[in-house]
Amino acid sequence: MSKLWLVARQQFRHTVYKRSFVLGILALPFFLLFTVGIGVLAERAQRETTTLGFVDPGNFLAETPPDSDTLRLQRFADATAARAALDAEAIDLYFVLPADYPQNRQTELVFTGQPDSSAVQVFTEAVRSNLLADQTAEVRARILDGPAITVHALARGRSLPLDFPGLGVFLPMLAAMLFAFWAMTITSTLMEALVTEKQNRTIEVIVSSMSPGQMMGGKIIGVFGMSLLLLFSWVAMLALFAWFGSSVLGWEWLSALAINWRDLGLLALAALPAFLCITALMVMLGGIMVDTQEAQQISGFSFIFLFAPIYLLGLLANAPDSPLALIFSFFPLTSVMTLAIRSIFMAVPTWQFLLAAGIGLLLAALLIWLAGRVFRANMLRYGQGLRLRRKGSRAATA
Amino acid sequence: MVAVELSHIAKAFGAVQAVSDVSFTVNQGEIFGLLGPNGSGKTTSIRVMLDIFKGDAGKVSVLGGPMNEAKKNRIGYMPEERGLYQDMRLEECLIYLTTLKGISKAEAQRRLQPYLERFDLAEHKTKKIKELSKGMQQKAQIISTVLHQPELLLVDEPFSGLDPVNSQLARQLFLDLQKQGVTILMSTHQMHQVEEMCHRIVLIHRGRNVLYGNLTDIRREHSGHAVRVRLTGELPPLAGVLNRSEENGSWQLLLDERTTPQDILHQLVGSGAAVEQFEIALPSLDEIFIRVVGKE
Repeated sequence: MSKLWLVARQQFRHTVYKRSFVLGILALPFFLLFTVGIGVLAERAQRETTTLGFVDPGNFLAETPPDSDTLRLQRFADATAARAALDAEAIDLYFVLPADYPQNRQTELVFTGQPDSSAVQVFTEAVRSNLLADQTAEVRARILDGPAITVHALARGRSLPLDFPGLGVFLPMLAAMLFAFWAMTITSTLMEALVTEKQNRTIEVIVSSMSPGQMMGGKIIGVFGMSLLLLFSWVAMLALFAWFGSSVLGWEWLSALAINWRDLGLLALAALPAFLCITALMVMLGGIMVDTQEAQQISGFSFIFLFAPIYLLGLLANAPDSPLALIFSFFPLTSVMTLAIRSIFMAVPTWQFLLAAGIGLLLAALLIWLAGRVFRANMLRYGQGLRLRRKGSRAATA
Repeated sequence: MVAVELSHIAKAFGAVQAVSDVSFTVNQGEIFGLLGPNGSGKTTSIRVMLDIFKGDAGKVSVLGGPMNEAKKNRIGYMPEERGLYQDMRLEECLIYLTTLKGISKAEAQRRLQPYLERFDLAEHKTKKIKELSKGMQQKAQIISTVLHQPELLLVDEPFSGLDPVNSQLARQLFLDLQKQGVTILMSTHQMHQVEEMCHRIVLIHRGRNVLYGNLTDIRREHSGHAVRVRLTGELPPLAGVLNRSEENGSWQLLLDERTTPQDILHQLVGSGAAVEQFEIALPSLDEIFIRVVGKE
């Protein structure tokens, strides 16, 4: 086995066999389980059967909805009987439809506790349906559904339904967030691996057995393998979550997920050089930092850039093609999240994705070159922090 | 045959000239001493030799030519700033470092056990490195340097942190390796170890050679003009002696320029003194080191 693969395997095993890695894998399913659990609990809470009474002396309600697990209707001859049932807690609430309801459209709702809104809504729709009894079923259904407004932003090439645009619209942003977490994990692990070599003072022994490039390559492959395992675990769990949500829980919004593959593909194109830039930055920091604690602090600070566009969400939503949005789109550390957010509100032109990728590649090449020199110049500086001015002179002479 | 040859190497880091002009050769199968005060350029010279740093000037030849990746498998290097993976178990760590030298895992495992027993580490092989004492870690470091059976060994301060018993173990290991034909370049401040083990040395100061050659020749060159005499009874009056001093029962006599050691021996025998020991008073390497570095 070549030395590069030996280092890669050792790095992979060293990282994967750690408790923190297992926690990292389990963090997402725990989060999902928590979210799903809350949803299920909320749904179950809503499933408590509400007994809704009504008084309809004019027999206006020819059709009433059938009883279900959550709603049971009970007709009363008069308001006194209904009131007695409410006081005896036999029913939760009751409606009074006066005999002249078809003319006055006035009803009375009586309740003691907070009325169940879904029960009220079901009963209200039943009343509306009866009001439309002389219409055809198609017209009744159309009127009961109400208006479905979709805003077409012609200049931005986006159409967004006002009620719920669908999860698919937000997928690029979710993908960008997943990318940011993934990039954070992989690059901070890589930096930690390099700093650990310095901290353990093993780096000189290692580079007397192989070239610094081989060592770096092995570590990158090892950490990348670890991150792929992490990513696949997350994706598998997301897929399981999606299946469970749509098939078992019957979440329609999840079943009707529409994916914009064009935006996701272009976003992935811009993400690759951004990832290279972050990796090079972390290698550079790994060359400069003295211990893992210091490295973690600095890397945490540098990841602010990745999430910075989220803080500008309002600005980006209102003016997704503003100069600020463009600047953030082309700066490699903020480009992925900015492009993802903008793609919710406008069809981002392909050339902007390509330009972001191009700028990212150029900066990545520069940073990788610089990182290699800084790392080589400082890999044997044990226990000493580095001043920036010194870093420059070292890099120049390495 | 030459194992290592450094010819006028120089290396600067920014404004700091770490090595200005260092040259020496290490012959195959010898134990060679690389000496010098702290910051003199010893470690930088070794790093240039191993191609960890590129030299600014000069030529380096290792094992018959320029340094390359393949030769790294034939070299064992124990740097001054040494360390092992603190979270790894001793056996796992040593095997991993040995596999990086091109040795299979099975072969590394096979070779490891005798060394662990020799250095009294066998019962600690499943412990994490950080659970071992400093001396144990030092012994583990020595094992990791030699386990792949290198042809050339570069050891920087190999005895630091070792007690006399373990120092003796390490010294004996290096002498055994030399007998097997391994070339050893040893950098240390422990001059008595150099005197006992090395035949040739180079002394570097401020990035330059200040002493280089056969250790006995160097001591002779720095002997001044003195003899050491041990005898029973009183030291008789001797002509040509500028100064006499007694230490631990023997006399050190500083001679004038016209008097030879043979003249003194002749006078002693002529006076009927019972001479137990007579030798040219050679300075210790410690004394030479202090004299040369101090003068510089």
